[in-house]
Amino acid sequence: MTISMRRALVILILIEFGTVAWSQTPPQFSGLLTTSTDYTCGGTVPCATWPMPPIPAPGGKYVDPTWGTTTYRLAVPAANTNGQAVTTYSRVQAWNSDNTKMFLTELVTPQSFLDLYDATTTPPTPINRILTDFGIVNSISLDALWAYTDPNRIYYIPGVSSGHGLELRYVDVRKCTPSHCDLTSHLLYGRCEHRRHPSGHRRKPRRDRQRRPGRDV
Amino acid sequence: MFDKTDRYFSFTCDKVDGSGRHEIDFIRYDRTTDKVTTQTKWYNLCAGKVPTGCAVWSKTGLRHNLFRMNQHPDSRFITVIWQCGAGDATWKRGCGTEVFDPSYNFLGVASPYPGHQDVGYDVNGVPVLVSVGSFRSDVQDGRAIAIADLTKVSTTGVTYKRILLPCSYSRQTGCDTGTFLGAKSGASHISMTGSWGSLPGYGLFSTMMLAGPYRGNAPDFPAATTLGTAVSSPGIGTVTPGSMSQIAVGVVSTVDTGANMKSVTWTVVTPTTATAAFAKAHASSAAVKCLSCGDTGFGAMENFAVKIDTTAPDNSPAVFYRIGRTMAIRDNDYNAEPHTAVNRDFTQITWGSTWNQDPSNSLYPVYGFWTELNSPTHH
Repeated sequence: MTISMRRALVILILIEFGTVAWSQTPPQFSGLLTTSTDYTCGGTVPCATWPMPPIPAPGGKYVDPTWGTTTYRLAVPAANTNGQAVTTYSRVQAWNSDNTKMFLTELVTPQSFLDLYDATTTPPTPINRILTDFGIVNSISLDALWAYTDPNRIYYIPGVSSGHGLELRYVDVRKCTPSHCDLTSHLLYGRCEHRRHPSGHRRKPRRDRQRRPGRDV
Repeated sequence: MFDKTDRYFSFTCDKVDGSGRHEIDFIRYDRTTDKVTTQTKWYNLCAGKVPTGCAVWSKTGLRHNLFRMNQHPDSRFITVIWQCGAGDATWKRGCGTEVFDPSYNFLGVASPYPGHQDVGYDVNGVPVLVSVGSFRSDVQDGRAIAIADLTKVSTTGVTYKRILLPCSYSRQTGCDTGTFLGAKSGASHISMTGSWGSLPGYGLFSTMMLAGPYRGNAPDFPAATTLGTAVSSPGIGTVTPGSMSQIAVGVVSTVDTGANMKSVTWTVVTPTTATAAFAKAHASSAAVKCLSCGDTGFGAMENFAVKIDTTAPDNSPAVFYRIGRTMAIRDNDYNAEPHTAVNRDFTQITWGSTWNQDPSNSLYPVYGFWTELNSPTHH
């Protein structure tokens, strides 16, 4: 076999291997539907694939006969008397860095809290509403986000009403339990007031800047 | 706001008052050294480093709330989502979604439109921005998912490729012909948070029914029938619809049009009659359309995973895995949008839903739902 023939054989093997690897279904999606079928039956009833099942009770489940997957309705912490907690937004990662905890947003006005969940159970179990010594933490208006590297850390920007609305802060959720979740807020960055506004006026320096506690990274 | 090392934070310093968020500076902060590596006025990102160099500045009435921004998990890329949109051929600086380096130098345009989108990685670990829809002003825009390779953006025009969902996602009943299903396809979301970990290259697509009486639009499909019997006053009523083909117990329908539109849930159905609680009077000719059918077609009120691969040819069919129903009717309640999010190894998803109830004007509760993948409870 010539060198060029060997090269051609190697390339063929690589192409074949690559095709197989590319077409493999990730185990997460094993058994899921891959058809383009309209399971609503075009809106025509009766439609066996588009039933109108009753809503499950909190913690209860619905097994879909067509998709084959199981959907659980999530319970909420006792502090969430409104009973509603949902994902903040598709772009906001609800799970911590090792997928063991999760937060959801309470649908309460005028301010929304985060509810912490234990994501190691099926379904995730509510732990408590997250409170801090610097007001509320949420990811709707206060940019609360799980850290990528620390599974217990949530970064956020306190609300303006807390008097610390120009700061980056974080909380550690390790001490959040079903009976107590009033966490200490740590300062990361608090100097968002040094530059001039485009209109030319200078923003008023924060009065509490000199009292800024030591930065904790 | 920060990259996957939790070291580099990219955000803005704003003045917030009763009239919105007045942008001042873009900031890049290094948490490890506790130093601001870049702080620059927002308009320094615009052409000519003046506000008018950003098309968003000239948008009527818009002098604040000019943009949103994201730090990609890859520290090299910051996306600024200017709050004005255009098409591929009409994009201007300071409109759509633009990509900047850690010093806020312009790298290129990822999308001409500031629509639903997210950042993450493709199957080969390439940093991407993925958008719902495309912006070529052709009929396939409505069933497209745009994928921009952030390492290959251009300063002069878009470079994204698009993949296409099945035809019935956006139109019934032809392929790229027929009724446009805007109440479904016009408001879908993409989550790339599941691509940040051990399984790069898959987005989670979530859809809903963006219709209802309080929002003011009826479903696009299927075609309406009529009540057949006038409803003289609010209360329980039995009607004789022109067709029973869309009416069953538990089905939610819109009744009537415009300011007279309301929704009902059918509670008793016979071969010729249907009973429900009506909130107001309607003529016998009032239109009846199925709200809980989700506009029908592929991906109606559904969660599904989509493969994201920057090497896939432009306009190639999307590779997808269908996870389940969202049962999400939105009407006039923003919180009733499913907004499905994915965990970091794509083994769990969570979303919000009214479970096939019309939330009307935020009057019906929205609950959290959860599905685990690759587990004993999955199949």
